[in-house]
Amino acid sequence: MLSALAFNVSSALPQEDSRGRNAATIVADALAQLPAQKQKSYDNVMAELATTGAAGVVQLAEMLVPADKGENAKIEYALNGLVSYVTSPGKTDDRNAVREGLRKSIEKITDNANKAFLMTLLQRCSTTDDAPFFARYVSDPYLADWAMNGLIATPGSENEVLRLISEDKVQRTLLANAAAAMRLKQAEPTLMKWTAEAGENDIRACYMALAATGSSKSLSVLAKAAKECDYAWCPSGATEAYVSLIENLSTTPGEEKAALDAAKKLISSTDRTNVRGAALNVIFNINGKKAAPMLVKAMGDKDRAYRVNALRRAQPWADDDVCASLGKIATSNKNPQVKTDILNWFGANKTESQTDAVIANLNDKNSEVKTAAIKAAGRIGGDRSLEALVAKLGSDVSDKAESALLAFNGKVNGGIMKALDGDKKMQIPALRIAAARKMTAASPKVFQLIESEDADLQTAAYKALAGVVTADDFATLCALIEKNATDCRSELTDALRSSIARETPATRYDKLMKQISTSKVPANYYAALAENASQSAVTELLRRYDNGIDKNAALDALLSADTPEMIGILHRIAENAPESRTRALTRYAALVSKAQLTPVRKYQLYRKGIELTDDAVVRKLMLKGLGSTATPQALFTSAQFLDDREVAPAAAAAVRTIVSKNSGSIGGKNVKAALEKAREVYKRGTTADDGYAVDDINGLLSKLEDNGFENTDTYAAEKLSFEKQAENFEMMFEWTGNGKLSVRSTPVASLGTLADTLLTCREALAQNDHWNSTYIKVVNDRLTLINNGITIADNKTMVNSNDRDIPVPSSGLTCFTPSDGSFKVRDVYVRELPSTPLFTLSPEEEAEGFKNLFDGRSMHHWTGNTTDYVPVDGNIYVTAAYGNGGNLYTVDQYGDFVLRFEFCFEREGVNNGVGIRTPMGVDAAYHGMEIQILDHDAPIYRKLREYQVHGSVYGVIPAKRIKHPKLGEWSTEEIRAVGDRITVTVNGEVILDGDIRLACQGNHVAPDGSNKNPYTVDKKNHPGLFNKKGHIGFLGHGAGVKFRNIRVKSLD
Amino acid sequence: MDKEKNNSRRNFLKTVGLAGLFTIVPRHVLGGPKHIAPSDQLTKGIIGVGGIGRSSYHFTSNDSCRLVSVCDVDSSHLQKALDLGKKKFDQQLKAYHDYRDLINDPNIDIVHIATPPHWHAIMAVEAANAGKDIWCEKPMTRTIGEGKRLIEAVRRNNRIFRLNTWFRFKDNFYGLGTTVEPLKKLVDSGMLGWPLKVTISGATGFAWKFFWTGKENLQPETVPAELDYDFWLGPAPYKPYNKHRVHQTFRGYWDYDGGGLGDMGQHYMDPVQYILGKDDTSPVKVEVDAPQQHSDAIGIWRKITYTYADGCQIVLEGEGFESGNKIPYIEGPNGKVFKGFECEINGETRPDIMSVIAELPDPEPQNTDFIECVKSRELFALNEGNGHRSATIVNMGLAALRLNRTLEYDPVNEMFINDEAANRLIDQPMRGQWKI
Repeated sequence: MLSALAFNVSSALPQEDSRGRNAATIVADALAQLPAQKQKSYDNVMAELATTGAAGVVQLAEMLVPADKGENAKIEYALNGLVSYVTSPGKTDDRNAVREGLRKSIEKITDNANKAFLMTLLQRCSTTDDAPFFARYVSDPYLADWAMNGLIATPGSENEVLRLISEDKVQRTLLANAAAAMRLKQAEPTLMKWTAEAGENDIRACYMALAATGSSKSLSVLAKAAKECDYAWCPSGATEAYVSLIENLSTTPGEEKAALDAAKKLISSTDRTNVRGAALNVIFNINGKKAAPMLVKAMGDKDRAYRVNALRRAQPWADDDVCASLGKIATSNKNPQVKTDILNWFGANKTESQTDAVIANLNDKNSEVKTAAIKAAGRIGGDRSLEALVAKLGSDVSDKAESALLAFNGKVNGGIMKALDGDKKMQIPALRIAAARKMTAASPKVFQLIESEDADLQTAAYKALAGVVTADDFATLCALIEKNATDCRSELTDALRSSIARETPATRYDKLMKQISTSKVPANYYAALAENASQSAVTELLRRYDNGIDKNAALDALLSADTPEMIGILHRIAENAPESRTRALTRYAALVSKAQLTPVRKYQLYRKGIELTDDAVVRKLMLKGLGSTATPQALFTSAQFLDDREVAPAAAAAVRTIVSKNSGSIGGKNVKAALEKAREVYKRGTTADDGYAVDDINGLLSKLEDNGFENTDTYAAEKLSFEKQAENFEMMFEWTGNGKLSVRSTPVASLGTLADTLLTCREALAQNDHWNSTYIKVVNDRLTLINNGITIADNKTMVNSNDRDIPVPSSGLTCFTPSDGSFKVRDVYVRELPSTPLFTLSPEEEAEGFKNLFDGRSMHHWTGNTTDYVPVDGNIYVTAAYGNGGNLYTVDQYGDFVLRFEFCFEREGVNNGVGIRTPMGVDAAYHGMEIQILDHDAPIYRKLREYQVHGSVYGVIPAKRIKHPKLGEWSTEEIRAVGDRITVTVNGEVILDGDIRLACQGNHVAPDGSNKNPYTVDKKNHPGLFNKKGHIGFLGHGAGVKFRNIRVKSLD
Repeated sequence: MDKEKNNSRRNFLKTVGLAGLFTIVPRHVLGGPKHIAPSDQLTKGIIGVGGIGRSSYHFTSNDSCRLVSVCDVDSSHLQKALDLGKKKFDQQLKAYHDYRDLINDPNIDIVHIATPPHWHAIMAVEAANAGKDIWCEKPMTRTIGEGKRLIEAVRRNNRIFRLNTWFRFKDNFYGLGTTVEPLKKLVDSGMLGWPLKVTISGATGFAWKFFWTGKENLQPETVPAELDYDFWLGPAPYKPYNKHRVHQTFRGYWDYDGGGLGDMGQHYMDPVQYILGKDDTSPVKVEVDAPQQHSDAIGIWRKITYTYADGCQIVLEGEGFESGNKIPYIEGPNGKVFKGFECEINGETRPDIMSVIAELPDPEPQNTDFIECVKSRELFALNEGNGHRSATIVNMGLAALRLNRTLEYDPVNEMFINDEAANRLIDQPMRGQWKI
């Protein structure tokens, strides 16, 4: 209990207050909590660390060891986290302290790799003041590079770098690189000198630096160097540096003219496209529209890359006039490539003003030009483009026009309607477009054209029909179907489906059934019936299939039905009709894949599928599905197919996928064997991807855990009962029929239809079609049970259904009990988990009459919040966050008693309490008593009041302050309550022995009835202080404490 | 100039073809029924022939483009690539150790960069400076600053650049069972309303937040003889060798890549950028929910949320990984689209959505044939500009993860707002001579 202690960590801890000790504990506390998993804990830990200032940073840094001598991760998390934290806006003071700490640390520690790490951190948070520090290391044989990068990243370090340049004592390449990165114009004269003196190793850095920092004075040097490289790429980077300098000067006030002259000269000096293009860019950037003549001239260039680049770079200033002059070139130029380039550019920019030029080129002789014009017209859009493109339907470039119309910038319907009235060559593509765009207005025309005497046109019209019809066309379509009943074209039935697609399922069903009942050939309507099928439609089709009424047509229709219930129906069809099995299962796999089902459920369905067929193609489909479920059950199923040569690659892929998706949580002999076999399969493969898979599997094998699900003789499923007594374990199994599951010789769940309210899982487990997949985890007195992917029990305390007054045994037989003859079990896999330590009473305590309240395995004597207080490894762990979920209480009530237990703090600052003589669900400190449990040594409790220290009767009698052992070490405690006398003994030392009635002079509440009580040390009322009896409880204020070996002797 | 002309590949082929240098010149160059003029067939070289560089869909030669050179700083990778070249094309590929020799090879038109990402920008910039067109694997660059440099170099040298992820123009889009096209049409039609929220989650096949985490406490190991580790590191800060840093597992370290987000993020988010029409801008805010990240090894994360200026959002939802969860892939004020293209408009499910979409015009055509683009010089569908923007989504997320805080971004000036430390992650230090 520490509810009244509100504090702000960063302000409550002044730096000057016994800083060394505080820093040490805070650092240790922080390290124990890293890496932080949640934002809030990160913020808290970093805020605490930040209060330790430079000293904390140095302390952390000094804990770093050379990488081959130990592990640094926690410290790296702390320092890296701290740097990130203090660089967030508004934390200047913390940041300054961290910078200071980093500088000191770099000076103090010796390992170079760790120094480099710290320098990287300083580089991320440095300020101008750090520049001289970095500068001291620029000649260090190991750290020079980090130091220089630190200078480059540090704002305001220019003078420091200029100083180093003028001193000229550091490696010149380093300085030149820094000058370039920081664009230090003042360095130009020195850099020119260095360039003149440079050798092979530093010439590149000098050129780059001149390019970034230089003025027009540097032009001649770089121009000469670039020329010597023949304006090609060369190791010295001369060409690139020259181009760069020109580019930089083009945006430097006062230097534009020099840049322009150099660029113009450069264009004519070389025929390298990229260099000429770069020079042209400079000219365009400086001159803008004034450069239009150069653009026009560029269109005559023989180099396509140069032309297209010129167009692209002219885009920002190319107005209608410029476009018009380009349009002229596009219509008059002799070179088809030039035309194409300009047309492409018009298209990309949607240059509407040049629609005429584009349209003119639709009739060009050259097919490349025509194609470009079509594409451009489609992109530009507009009525004239539409008309022109429609006119191209049926021409030699009809397919291109058709694509352009499908992606046309605007509606095409009007144009296509006209084309449908055009000549046959035009009508055919227009029909395709009308159908693709679902132009329902075209339906009368299409109905008219299916009567055409021209076979091609008729075919095209039939194909278009489904795209254009609506519900209004239903009667017309039915009439057509009846007219051609025995020789009905599939296009008509497709169109029928399409016409009613947007009707409600009920209307659709009624309309079609009416038609079917009077039709000469009802099968013509089956496909439509299956479209977006309602339940009644599926039932009707199935009836017809089962009764052999147009059986094949009914099957075709069923295979096209797209509803989840088809999964079961298709499986039945596959089971009963071998001739249709492959088709049915192929569709089955597709429907399972897209169904909204749990992965385990999908596994069951794929497994049912694969067990029904020998067809390799279908088996591969199922294996792919099994892999996608990523369940361990699917892994074991898939592994059985690794020996089947035909489907082994698919099985190997499934195994690899499943292990990789469960990497870190899966292991054991079975998984290892499956992976090794899968690797052999991939090794037989020949592609590079197979090799990649082998490497991947090797990686997975190296990460595999030893402990995994095993199916050994000890767990032979057919026996229904295992020979081994089991305590903690996980188990997967499959079952069918009606039976019961027992663990530790205790029935816990009904398998099948018979519910049993006496069991831990009270509801009967839902039945599946045939086999059910169940996973259980049994640890201590808790059970987790997941049936067919649905969690039934989540770490639930097990009920001993044999005798509810005693806990479930901590060990016993696992067995299945059949409730009837239908019950079967298969595929039992067990993974044993470590046994939990057991606490028993010493003979002396037993003789004295002590009772064990917690033996490490069972919480049977406890009630209340048993979800945040959980048994782990023989201890009760408090996992609750502050204020969550309530407290843990003994089932029984005690008046006078001796309570003995052990406690251990895992985290600095733990806060809990033992409630005694308290009712449940109230604040025990006032409505009962609270014996404080608190890590009062933590620096954050520096301002603690004496009645709040560990062992106090909270608010009533202060205890003697003790020093807790180190975090992670256990303490013993005894609380003796006899009448008004409370005695608390910790680690053998009596720290409280007092009388509660005397302590408050008999006034547990204020005599005047107010809520200010002058007689208690906390000045509060304690109405429950004199309770005769009540529960013993643990009063959680957060995680990080554990209890064990809890026993009580009642003195009532 | 003249000297260079004589060295140009086409002339080179002309002069040596008859001399019978058959190891380099494929048979069809010499004529025959399927004769291809050398000037019609482009050539490429791959830098980085580990898993990706050697994978079957990259390691190809065909009529339009022929693989002629490979480069790697690991001699065993290089040898494997040469062997594979012999096996696949019956051809002796030219082998390079230093990528600069490959990009300077006048016989190569296209440089294919398949190295770890910390090299992408430098190599692309150098290839552009050498006048080569570029095919670059994802993620485009490892930092936002490197992306800016890459754009400058590609545009300055008027090169054609392709970033290699393709879901914005082909292949079924994650979890939707279709290409991105119908979704683009639906979004453009306005039927879903605006702004839109796209959630990449377990429902649409998202698992990569778990992949490619690094290891802490790496022990120094002896560098294998076949690996030039110093060259492999290149611009990355020197850290003692451990095999987990290199080959296949390098993705788990900030120095070389960006974990699952770096490796797979662009695959998933580039098509979203296309759908939302954000090719020329970036989100203005990124929020992360993640465990604290280590200084060297990349960890996992729970959720990353990006917000654009107009309110559109991209959410990488790492919780609730079960594929059964029904989270809409895309959601607007008026409608939602779920896995398998299940669609809800104005509160009603629309099984007929595909025929509704069919009435809409196709999206503007994209240039999806890289070789055609190299020839016509038209921009490839996913080029340096929009590729940089989708890489920026990834790299913004990485910066926020590293700093463990919400960051705000100015998409015009391409800088974080009021966060100087975040801006230092835009341009990260490069080691030694490796500068751009």
